[in-house]
Amino acid sequence: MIEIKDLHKSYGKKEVLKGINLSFERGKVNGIVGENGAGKTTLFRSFAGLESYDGLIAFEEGLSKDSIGFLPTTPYMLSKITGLEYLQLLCKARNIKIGNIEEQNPFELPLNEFADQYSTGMKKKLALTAIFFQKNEVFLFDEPFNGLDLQSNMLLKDIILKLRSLNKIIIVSSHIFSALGEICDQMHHLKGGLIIDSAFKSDFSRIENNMRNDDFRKRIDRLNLA
Amino acid sequence: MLSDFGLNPWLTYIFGAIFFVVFSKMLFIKFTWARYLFPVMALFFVFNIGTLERNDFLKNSFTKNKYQQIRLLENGLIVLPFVLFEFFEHDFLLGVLTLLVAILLSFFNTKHQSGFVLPTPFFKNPFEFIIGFRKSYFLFLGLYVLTYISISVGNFNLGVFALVVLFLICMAYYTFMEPLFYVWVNSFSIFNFLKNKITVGLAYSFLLSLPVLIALLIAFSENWHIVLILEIVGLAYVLMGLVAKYAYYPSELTLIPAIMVAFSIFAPPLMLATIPYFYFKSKNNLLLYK
Repeated sequence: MIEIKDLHKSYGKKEVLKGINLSFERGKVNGIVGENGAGKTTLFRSFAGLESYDGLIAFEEGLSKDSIGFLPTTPYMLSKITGLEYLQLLCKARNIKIGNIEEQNPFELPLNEFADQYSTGMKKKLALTAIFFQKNEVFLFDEPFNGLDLQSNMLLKDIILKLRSLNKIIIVSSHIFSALGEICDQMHHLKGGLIIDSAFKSDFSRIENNMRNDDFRKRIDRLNLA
Repeated sequence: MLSDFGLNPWLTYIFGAIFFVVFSKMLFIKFTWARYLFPVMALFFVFNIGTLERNDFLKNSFTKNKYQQIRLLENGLIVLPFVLFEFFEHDFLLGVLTLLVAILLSFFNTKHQSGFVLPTPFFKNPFEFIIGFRKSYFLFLGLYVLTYISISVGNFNLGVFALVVLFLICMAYYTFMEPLFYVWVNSFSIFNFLKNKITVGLAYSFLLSLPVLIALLIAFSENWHIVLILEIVGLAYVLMGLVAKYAYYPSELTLIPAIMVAFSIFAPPLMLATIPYFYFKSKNNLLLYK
């Protein structure tokens, strides 16, 4: 289990996270939803340890930041590095020897081509593959479905469900509510740096309705569409 | 960078010019091979601003004629101090050649998005040497050819120049600041992280220098001790580049450490102080990101 207690994060005077309290259990998929700028990426980066923060993130014994597989929203690929070399780099970083990569290549990527010349979706697939190869215990996926083709989206959902059955801790953020609805056991609504609602599967529609009802009608009216 | 210290930016130009002249004079007095280094340095900067992405931006922003004028002016201004100093040192041929090549390069983009994957012997330990080698393999070919020429004409200094430049190129691989993610993802302790980086950096630099080293040891066996000392100094350059990078990571080197590195290159015994200084600073600095 991982517990986040009173997590605050500020950039200068701007407070992005205003006291997040969450707990994530093994064998559960947790979804984080919220509009752009709500603080999802900051929450993920703080969780991973890529940002300093105030508050506490308590890992169960045996887990640490080195058990985290983190997929950033836009994975950065170094230039002049092939897909295969990227996988080698990320596995080497975790002291993991990989066997026949070509055989294990779940998204059937052209691994002998330069990764920075991949399309957006292919870069995401490569970053995901590396995270799966690292044999992590905790998975942080920031917008994993964006840019992926339909088939890869379906494959990714199945992989996430497989990870859940292997008792891993999985946290996913996405703007695609339906995708989260299919895989998540619990969903948290992040707004203005705070978790304003959490729901189990049977109540996901409540979060969706809250998001939809925010002030959509007023915003549409303000557009003066004719 | 001087403006960071609250100084008038104009002082940057004045200090820069004085620094350049004094440093260049020191270089020419101390090393006979400095005359070959100057065109290489000048054209290195010209290559760096010749990227396709940058010049596409210029092309989109200006007319064709204006674009060509800007490229000519930029390349000319970059090599001008080097050319003037070469003239001052009576190296007229090298000066004119440098200028001509810079003008010629203004008609080309120096980097293309090629999909050609050059195989390297560095697969097991990405990434600095894989990236660096693929971006600069032509320089190594040039340096190996230069070594051959130095042997065939019996010019030891030319061979020494090739060896030193080779290590400076390897050292330059550590000027690239990888995104924080690539440091964060490591599960090694800071000590082991640095140890691995140092081991790989020294081993791969040694590997790349091996053809030049062996050739010089055989051809100029009477100077074997100079060659070996330069090999050790070159490896120390690479080590200094590496630890200096992580001492200030993810920021680039500011003025003071950059000067420390520059002085250490010209006066290698200084590395006995600068390498441990940067190493311990790296260990402290990386604590923030591990």
